[in-house]
Amino acid sequence: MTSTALVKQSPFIADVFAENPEPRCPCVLVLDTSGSMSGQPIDQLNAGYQALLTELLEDALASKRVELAVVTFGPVKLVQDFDTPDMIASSDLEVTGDTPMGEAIEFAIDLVHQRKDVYRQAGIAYYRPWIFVITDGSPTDSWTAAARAVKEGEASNAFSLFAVGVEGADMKTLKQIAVREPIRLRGLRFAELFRWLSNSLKSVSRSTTAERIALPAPTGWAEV
Amino acid sequence: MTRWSIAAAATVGERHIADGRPCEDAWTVRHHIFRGEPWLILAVSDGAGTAGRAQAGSACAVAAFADEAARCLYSDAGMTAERLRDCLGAARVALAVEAGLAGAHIRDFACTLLGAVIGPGTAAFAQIGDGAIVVAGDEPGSWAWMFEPQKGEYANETSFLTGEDALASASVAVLTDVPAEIALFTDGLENLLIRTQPARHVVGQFFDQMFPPVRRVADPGLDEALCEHLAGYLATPAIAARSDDDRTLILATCLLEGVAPAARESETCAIP
Repeated sequence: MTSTALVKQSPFIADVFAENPEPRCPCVLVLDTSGSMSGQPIDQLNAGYQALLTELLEDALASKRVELAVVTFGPVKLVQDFDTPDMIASSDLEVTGDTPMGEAIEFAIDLVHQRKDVYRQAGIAYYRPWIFVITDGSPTDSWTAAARAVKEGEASNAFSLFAVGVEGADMKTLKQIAVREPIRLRGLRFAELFRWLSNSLKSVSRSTTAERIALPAPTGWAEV
Repeated sequence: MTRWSIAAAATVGERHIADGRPCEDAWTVRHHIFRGEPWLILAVSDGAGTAGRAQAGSACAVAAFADEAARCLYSDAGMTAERLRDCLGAARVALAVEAGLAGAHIRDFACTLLGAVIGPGTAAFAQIGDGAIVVAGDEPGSWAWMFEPQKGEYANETSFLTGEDALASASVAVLTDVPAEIALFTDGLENLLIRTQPARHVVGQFFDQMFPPVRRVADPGLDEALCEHLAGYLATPAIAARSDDDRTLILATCLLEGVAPAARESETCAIP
């Protein structure tokens, strides 16, 4: 981990969980906000993120169960700590520096582990966390440690990591980082991508014991 | 001699309706007299959402469990932990037979199983999977689960009767003090009936509010009118808002002859 200030999650948790004891479905969005995303891509990404929040809010169960966190890179920054959609104030993401994807993913994995500790302390049930990476570039940092952590995490069922490459993304490297086949975004169909994410999270957050979740097909936004 | 008044119901979850699936929970309530002594057998089961024949699985599991328990009691009055495990085993075998007949795999019949066998000086409980069996304590308003719901790390993971190590992972207990009231419920109600603060516990208030109508029933046995009311209650929007999964609840209260129902009852059934 580099000099990025890791924001520790607040130790004060009891009230939130007493008020809302629903099982949690945590999802970290790891979003590339490097210079190359400026213009249309970042606008579409912002619109998609807003739509995701709105759609989750409209779902009575998902709004209480899905917890979103947002990590942008670079530099790696925790823009939004884990919270349910009703508690998240919408804010536009801005384009910043380079593409330290390796560090961002390691940060996200850390975040997920910390969050699980919080759930366990609070006695809150939870679903397998999702880490959802969207990038249009090539990592500008060393990503081998991240790739190793992803492999370990996927193998031990600690989380599921999905990687989406926007046009210009280094799919080859992405493939080496993610265990699951990375998906290439068709054009700038962020709206469709986030709708898929919202539907998938809704499915996961209401799945009951040992339902293997049938995720909707990524039609409409994935390049085949 | 004790006699039991019982209400039971299963309600299809809104999500099942949306997906075109039936209610995949099942329950059974049986009364038997063996050697002049009354026995009560209760069971609930939650068919796994992933299992293709979940509905058949849960129905078969509760029936086979109750059949085997009755057979044990008939042949040799009494219920031990070992016999209770045999009842679970018999239910598992029944699922395997069903699977064989259907040309399917036993995992297609995956379901949980919670059972209670109650007789004079015996209260035997068994559980595989999630949901819970709740019993009344000695103090009024004190409720506790017999076994913590079996969960994996994640909220949508549990153990099933169809699992390889199902019988080894089963929770079984036999008490000689028979609780005055017993409730069984499936996973669909866990979210309402189990609180996590400060530690995981059952919501006693819910049972305080749900049992009075059952206590007021004059005649022992499964009360049909009460079952209908219970089914209606489990389907109310206030409950559906907390769970869109199938919801099953059995409430059994012991009517002591010559003893009037407790006077501390309140009339309402409300969500805690």
